[in-house]
Amino acid sequence: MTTPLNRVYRELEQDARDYADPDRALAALRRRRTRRGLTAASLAIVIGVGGVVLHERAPTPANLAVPALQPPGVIEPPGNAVALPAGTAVGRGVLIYSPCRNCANFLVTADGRQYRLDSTPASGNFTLSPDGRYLGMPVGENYRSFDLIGGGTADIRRDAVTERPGYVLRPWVWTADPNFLVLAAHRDGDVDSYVMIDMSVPGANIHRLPPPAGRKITIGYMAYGYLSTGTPLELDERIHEQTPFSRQTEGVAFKEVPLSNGSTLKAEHSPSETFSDKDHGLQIQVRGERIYAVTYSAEGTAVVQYDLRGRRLARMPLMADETPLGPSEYGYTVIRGQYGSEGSQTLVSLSPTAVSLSSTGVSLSSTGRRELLTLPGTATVVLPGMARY
Amino acid sequence: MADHEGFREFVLARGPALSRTAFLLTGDHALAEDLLQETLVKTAARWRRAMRDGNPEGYVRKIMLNQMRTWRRPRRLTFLTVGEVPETAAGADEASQAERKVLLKRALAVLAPRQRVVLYLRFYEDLTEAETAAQLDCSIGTVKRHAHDALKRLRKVAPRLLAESDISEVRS
Repeated sequence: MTTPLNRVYRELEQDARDYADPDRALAALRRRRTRRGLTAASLAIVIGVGGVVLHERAPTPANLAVPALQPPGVIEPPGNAVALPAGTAVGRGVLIYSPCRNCANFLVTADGRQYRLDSTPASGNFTLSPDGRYLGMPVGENYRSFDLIGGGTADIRRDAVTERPGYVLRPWVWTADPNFLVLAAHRDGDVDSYVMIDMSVPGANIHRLPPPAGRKITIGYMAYGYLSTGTPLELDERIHEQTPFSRQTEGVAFKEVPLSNGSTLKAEHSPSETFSDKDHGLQIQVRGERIYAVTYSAEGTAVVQYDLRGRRLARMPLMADETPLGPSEYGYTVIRGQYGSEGSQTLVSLSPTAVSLSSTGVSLSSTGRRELLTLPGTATVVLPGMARY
Repeated sequence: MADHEGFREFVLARGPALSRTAFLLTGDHALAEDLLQETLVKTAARWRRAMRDGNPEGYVRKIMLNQMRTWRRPRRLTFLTVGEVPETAAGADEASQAERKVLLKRALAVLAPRQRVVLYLRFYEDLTEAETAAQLDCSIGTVKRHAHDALKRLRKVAPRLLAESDISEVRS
């Protein structure tokens, strides 16, 4: 008997690709055996000498591990870069960077290879999915996605999203599911519409996103993130109570930021702490179930981590030469060093888990910093999960 | 070395079929790739045993199903846009097929691994409850429970997948 479910399974099987790679499996097996052998030898020696037992965590299979930047590392543009080949699997991406203003952009893969990205225009609007699998870049007025693991490419045509002249597609935010990217059609920041792209479907399915219930898409409508429930997290209308609404939030010192899920972020570390000031607009980002907001005060800049209910979980003061980038697979990431300098910049991750309690609240200990990479002083970077930047 | 050659030949020959199984169990290319890769690593480690019974494919599938059931991956946040999938005009079969596939992929994402395995065996491999129980080394009651829970979940998130007949009545 054939049921609808039987039939859909038969239809779905046509989408499967060939993932089998015997040599990769054999290489992984060799690595595991070597590791096990070394672990056993170490244990035997230590037990024999001191009777001390080493407890080693079971190794994570290499193929299941999230790609990681291998610190310490120095990233420099290759002398003879190959363009990212369309339709070819190159492995997960860990970073996109441009060594200088108006230079070519490069994708760095988990095994350290670099590929030149031939986008048009040459800079800006790149994105990498949170798991490093998908890359997006502008090609003319359209947007192209690359599946770095499966090898597929898909073009999202601008005119399929908006017919208004002058509007271009820009990556806006990745959802909680790393297969879905929200693109905005905008002109000078004025958003016409949002679409959600399912990158995992050949050809990349497009779903038009309605504005939140009861609201028009306005110049200020701006999703900071999409939660696991599928709902956008954005500024709430209550923000009007603080100021006449404007897309530009510089110049207004927000002590509280109401969000569309009913929570309110509060800057309460000190009387002078605010979420924006005359020089800085709001910088609020979402990763998973955590909200990160940059605050400014007489003591300097800090990144504050909140849960979805607006409860403050950690406060991470930044050093004077650190610029906040955003949450990523590596923790909250900042760039240390002066952009545009002749020297170098360092990509540093802050770990909100390394916290200490003090009379002023929760703060990050100095051990919560990890240097990831050194980049040219003029480099700009895009990390996995970053879209609008 | 000879073992490795045999393993290579087997994977090259049966890779596409095993890939299909992995994809239908996960509904996601990245997960399917990870699942199959992990399965192949384990198979390579026991290749002689796999060959001993003369049915290496059955052995590999068994490893894959067990791997799927016990896989300790971080729980994946699932984004559902089921409600936004547009209604299809009658006769637009291709579009309708694409939508059904999207629905199934998303539905699989919200099912527990054991429920996905049971659905796969029952509705793709077409096994009876008894055969499914034998494959999974569990009781028929357990199979029934997982199938019931899975279908209940599907009815909630993707009723169109079950609309044309009452699947719970499929032969046991």
